[in-house]
This record gives sequence, structure tokens and C-alpha cells, in this order.
Amino acid sequence: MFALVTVFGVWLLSAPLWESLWLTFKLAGITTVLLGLIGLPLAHWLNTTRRRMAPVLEALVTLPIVLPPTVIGFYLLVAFSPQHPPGSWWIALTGGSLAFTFTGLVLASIVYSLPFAVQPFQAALRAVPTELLDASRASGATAWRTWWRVHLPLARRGVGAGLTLAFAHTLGEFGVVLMIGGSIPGETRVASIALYDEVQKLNYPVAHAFAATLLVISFGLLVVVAVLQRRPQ
Amino acid sequence: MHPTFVQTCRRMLGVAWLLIATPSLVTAAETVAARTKITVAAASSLQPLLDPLQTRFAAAHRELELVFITAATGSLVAQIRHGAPYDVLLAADLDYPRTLVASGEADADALFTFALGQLVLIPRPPAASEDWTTRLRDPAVRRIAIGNPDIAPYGRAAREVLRRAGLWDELTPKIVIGDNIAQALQFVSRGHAEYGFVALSQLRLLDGDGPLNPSAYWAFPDTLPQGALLLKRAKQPMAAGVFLSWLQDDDARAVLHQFGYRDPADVADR
Repeated sequence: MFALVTVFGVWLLSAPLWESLWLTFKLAGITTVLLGLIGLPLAHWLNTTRRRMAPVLEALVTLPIVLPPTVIGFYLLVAFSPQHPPGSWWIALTGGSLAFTFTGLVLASIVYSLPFAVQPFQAALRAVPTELLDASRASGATAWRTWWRVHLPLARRGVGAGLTLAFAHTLGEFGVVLMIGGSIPGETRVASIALYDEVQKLNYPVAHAFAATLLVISFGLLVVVAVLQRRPQ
Repeated sequence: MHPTFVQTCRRMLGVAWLLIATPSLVTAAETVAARTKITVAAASSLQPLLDPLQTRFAAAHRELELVFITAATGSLVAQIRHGAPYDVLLAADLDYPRTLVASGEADADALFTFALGQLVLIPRPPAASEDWTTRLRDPAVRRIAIGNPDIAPYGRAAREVLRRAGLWDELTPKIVIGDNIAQALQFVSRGHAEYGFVALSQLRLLDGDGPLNPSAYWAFPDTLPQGALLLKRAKQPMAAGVFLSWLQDDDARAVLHQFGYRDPADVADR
């Protein structure tokens, strides 16, 4: 049924909606790569650190799960403001403002989707038996080599799940973009915003098609996560 | 390497290429030649006529392209304050653009009234007989939709109308506030609210291309001067200037009239 709606939807979608869908995928893709680069070391560090501050940092990383997106959007809007740092530093450095730009959206998405990557990363890395890591170290492998060749490959399913979740969660971003992105075609008008605009135009057939497309994509991604998180037989 | 594995990889690459290329091809077909983009922040009440405006403008100026961003006027002004890269603001009032002039985002002479909008009250189902105050007072009425009076000029106008009629306090429990005037219309059109204060220009979305049926709404005599403002930060000030002068030509006027806007000259001394 949904597949049918999606085929119909793809046929109905106009060029601007294709553009917004493409932009959303670009945003989610870049965010996911960056979250892999930031999130994996962060997850490993959070798992192994003995600092007393660790629970506080872990709570900080998890915060976007429970915070209303408007709270994140508000603080980012303030942070991106040309009147004071870090927004003013950015303007001095690049000449452009961070609010209402794609770069700004990427930074916002990293914050917004961080726990959706880091939490599965942490769980997956923790699930690797320490004996295997100890054995690797005992056979003379460096800490880095052990992490890269033993720890990470053994945790790959959970890492994959984290990356897929980060991607899927970024696809659905709305409140944050609404506050710091505006709705600039090709720059910040991501799928959720384009859908909102179509609903406001009372353009229900297109809205239905677009919503169904997003629903099918999101569902597909969650099936991927579920498959990855099932233990191999 | 196993041949079927290679085949699968090739197939996946093909699908990936399709996924990546299709949207860009569509976009490429849309913009045969790179046209100068004019970014116009437009009040939600203008949304129904943006497509016709775009079409008419494109016919007259092939080298220029209008890109519209719509929201409540107050939201657009807040975005501009935070550095939104817009060239032009089409506001639903003059007060909001004036605050941008006051804060140095635009020059005073960059602001002009391009049309007069009108606040209307629509009932669903449409039948605007008898006195509107009597109808709104009916205990059977459960929801009345308006735009957010704090950021949408038509919402503010609606609040004024209700206050003057002495109904604001009495009706407050029934009022549902849309983020902007487009959302207010949406509430009414989908039957979530029985009455809605919206802009006359929006009724086209409900009634199609036919003549607006005057018995389908109540119109309020006060008009809202719609302000057009060229922003200092505009990336395309020349092109934006071309658009703003076109907005006062017959071509643009025709579209504005079609959607129920009146000429600023019609109402003297405003």
C-alpha cells in the first residue's frame, strides 16, 4: 500500500520538493559521517574514562534526546548570532553568518543527532568482551591497533545501527531547522520544512505524497537498524 | 573476487548514481541558464498569489528568478535581525518593516506600500448571513482560528476587531492561534475550527479561480497596508530594485487585484 503511495508520490513531487529531499539526504549524510568521526572516539572515551566528570558529560551528550528541539534551536540561534561569539567569530573568519545556512544546519544536526549515534556506539563497544581486547594487547598489538582491528570490527553492527539512527533522526529534523534555518530553497528548506510549507498552502495531495515518501524511507531505515541489532545466529 | 559480488556492487552503484543524479537532472532542467536569484521574504497572507506573481514576473524578466520564503511577518523580521540572507521583505503591515528601518536593517526610503490587504471572517460551512458577532457568540461555536497576534499582522487586526466589538475576553477560551495566518486558514479549511479570521487574499485557496462569493465571508472595513522593503544586506540590490518597481506596475497590480488587494491610492491619507 505504502509502496504504491510512494510511487505515486515520486511521480507527483515537483522539482522544488525533489530539491528539498536531496538537500535532506545531503544534510543527513554529512552529519552521519561527521558523527562517526566525532561519536566513535567520544563513545570510547566515555566508556573508558575514570574521570569523576564522566557521568555529567554523558548526560550532556544524551540531553538532545529529551530536550525540545526548540530549546536547541533557541540556543543555537543565540550562539550563531552576529552580535556575539561564537557567531561573531565565525563571521570574522568566513564573512558569512551561520544561521540560515547549510553549514549552520550541519552543526545543528550534529548536536541534535549526537546521542542517537553515541548511545548505540557506547553499547556496542561495551559489549565486546574485554578478554579479546586483553588478548590482542597481550599478543603485542598497540592500543590503537587493538581498537582499529579488534574492538571496532567486533562492534560494527552496533556502530552501523548508531550511524543509521543518526541518519534517520537527521532526516526528521524540524524544530531546530525552523528556528535557525528559515526555509531557503536549496540551502535550508529540508524535507520536513517543505512538507510544512505544502500543508500551509493547503496543497494536500502533494503533502500526502511527500509525507508518505518520508514515512517509507524512515521505516526502511529503522528496519535496517533492527536487522543490525539482531544478534547473528 | 566472486563475479556475482561484483555484479551486485555494480548494480548498487547504478542505483546510487540514479538516486544522486535524478534530483540534479530535474534541477538542471528547471534552470537552463543560471538566473539571478532574488530572495523575497513574504508574509503568509501573500502565499496564494506568489505563484502567479512569479509567473508574471518571469515573463517580463527572464534573467531574474524570485525565490520566496513565507512565514508570519514577525517571524520573518526576527529572522532578518538574526542575519537571514533576504533581499526583499513583503510584509503584511508597515509597523514591522518600520522596526527594521529603526534598527538599521533598511533605509527609510526603501519602504513603500504596495497594496492594501483586508481582514475577513470566514465560517465553515460558508454562509455569512446575519450579524457576525451573534454568530460567534453562539454557544455551539467551539473554535475560532486566528493568526498569532504577536507576530502576524492579520492576527493582530483580528484581535483589534474582537476587542472593539467587546468580544475578545468572552471568546478567548474558544480562540485557537495559528503560528501564522496560513495555519489559521488551514484550521478552518479542515474543519478544526468553525470560524477563522484570515486575509481576503487567502480565500482563493478555498474557492479556486471563480469570483469570490461575498456571502461566504464578512469583510472588515479597516485595511492593512502591505509594506515592501529593500534590505540593506541584500545580495542582489539591483535585481531586487527591478522586482520592487515591477511590483508597482500594472502586471503585478492585476495579480494583486485578482486576490482581493486594493491599490494604496484607493484609500487616501493612510
